[in-house]
Amino acid sequence: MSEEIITFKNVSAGYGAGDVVENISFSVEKGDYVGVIGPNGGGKSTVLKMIAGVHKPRLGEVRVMGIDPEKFTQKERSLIGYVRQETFIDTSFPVKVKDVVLMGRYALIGPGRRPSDQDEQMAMDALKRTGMENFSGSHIGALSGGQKQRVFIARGIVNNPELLILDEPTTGVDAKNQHAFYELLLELKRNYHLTIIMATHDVSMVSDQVNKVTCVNHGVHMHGETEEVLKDEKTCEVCGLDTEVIFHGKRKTRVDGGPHND
Amino acid sequence: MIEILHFGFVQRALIAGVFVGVLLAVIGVYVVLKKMSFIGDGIAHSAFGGVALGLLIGANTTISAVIFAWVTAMLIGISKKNSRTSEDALIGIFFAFTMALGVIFIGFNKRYNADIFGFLFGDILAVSAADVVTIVCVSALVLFAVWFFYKDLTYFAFDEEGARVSGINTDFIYFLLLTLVSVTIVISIKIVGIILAVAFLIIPVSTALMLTLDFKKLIFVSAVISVISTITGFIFSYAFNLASGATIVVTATALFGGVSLFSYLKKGR
Repeated sequence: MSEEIITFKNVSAGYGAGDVVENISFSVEKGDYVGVIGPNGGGKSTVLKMIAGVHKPRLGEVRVMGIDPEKFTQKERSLIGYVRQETFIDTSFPVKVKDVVLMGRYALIGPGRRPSDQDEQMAMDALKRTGMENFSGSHIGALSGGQKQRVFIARGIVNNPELLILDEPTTGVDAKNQHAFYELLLELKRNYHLTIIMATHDVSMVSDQVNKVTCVNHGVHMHGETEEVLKDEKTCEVCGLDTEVIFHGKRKTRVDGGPHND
Repeated sequence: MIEILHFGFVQRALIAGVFVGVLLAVIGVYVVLKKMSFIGDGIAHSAFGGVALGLLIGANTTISAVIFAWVTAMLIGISKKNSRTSEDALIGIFFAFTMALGVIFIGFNKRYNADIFGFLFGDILAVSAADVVTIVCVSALVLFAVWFFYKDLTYFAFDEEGARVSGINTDFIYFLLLTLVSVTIVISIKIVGIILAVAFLIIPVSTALMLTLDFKKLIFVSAVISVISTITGFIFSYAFNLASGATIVVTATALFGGVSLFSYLKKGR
């Protein structure tokens, strides 16, 4: 029997007086790879922040691994990795790649203590898993957009999490590196049995790689198997997609003004 | 020149200058990297209200300035987290309000008080033994707090949201940093003055950023530049009878200019 790792029940949340998302309910099972799609301002990031425990729902109930994320212990929190847009982080900051990854261990290490040899080893292992071990001594700002995101993935998985949350992680990454980035996610998911939930505008990637899709535009319009959600005409309309995805058995063709076959 | 080291006021000036220089550089690293320079300016100017109140009621001006600066910093921080008004607007409001209070307090003070010039622009030669003790003790406390919360402060400065998701109490770290900035600025007032304190918080770090991209080295290099500027500035101010705080800041700026030129020429090669 499948195990629910994320559950939203009638959740409303927002900033200030208004709600960004209203009365949303959906669940994610362990091992799922979920793409969260929808227009800007529709509430994708708010949903992810509630899962990460940094945004409080105004109404309803959020459970991650059966626990209210706001009541996570430090150990429970370390079972979640979080990666956001690289463009939101000032990578001119004077810090080396290995230290960026080590930051993922800081809260577990606690104040007044320095990272141990084991912490350093875990950071190196995470860099190895993302193919960035040869850059451990480089300044983060010296890397390309795709390489930076690999480093942030390494930080997200340094504690061997069960759940990886990604908020539009390929913004600012060129098309070639985006493809390599998605391949890396698939590999990590396969090898380390991760559950992944990712907000994205890349419908092509969603149709190719994820097994479930959540369409968020102030509420959850639809949540389910990728094909089922993307075939739904109303999903495209509600989520502001000008893309039609045509499924041919297991093959998919994306139609968004220009041909795209795979 | 060496013989001046025998004078007690010179010894006090150098000890205070070195401690304050190191402290401003260490806190300055976080202020610059977290892009909090303007909030530092607001806190420094709010200390003016505290100094003026201290002079009016005959209280210890360091204590009154710390209270004023800290309360202002907390009000800016709380308002930022709970108000729709932008942070820079809030800083501008509190900055102007506390300066205005300072001017009113000075107006109430019937006797002429030449001290206010020293508070505004600093006078390293006027550092007393009690000031030295205060500066050394406060420096030790602030540096211990930075050492203890080093990882949290660094992660917070680099990626606040990432730090928060990972379990670091970023609200606590933000208010801790505001507190450390308030205390650091107030104890540096004797050396560089209210007007120039923020310049000294920013300039050595900005200079060091051109020399290293390693965070730990950045703290060390900033502290060295800060101490060199303080001692060199002090020597110039003594030798040419110049205002000490201003001379120290001009020295730090000259170092910044020299390193900028060096970096530019190196890049062009």
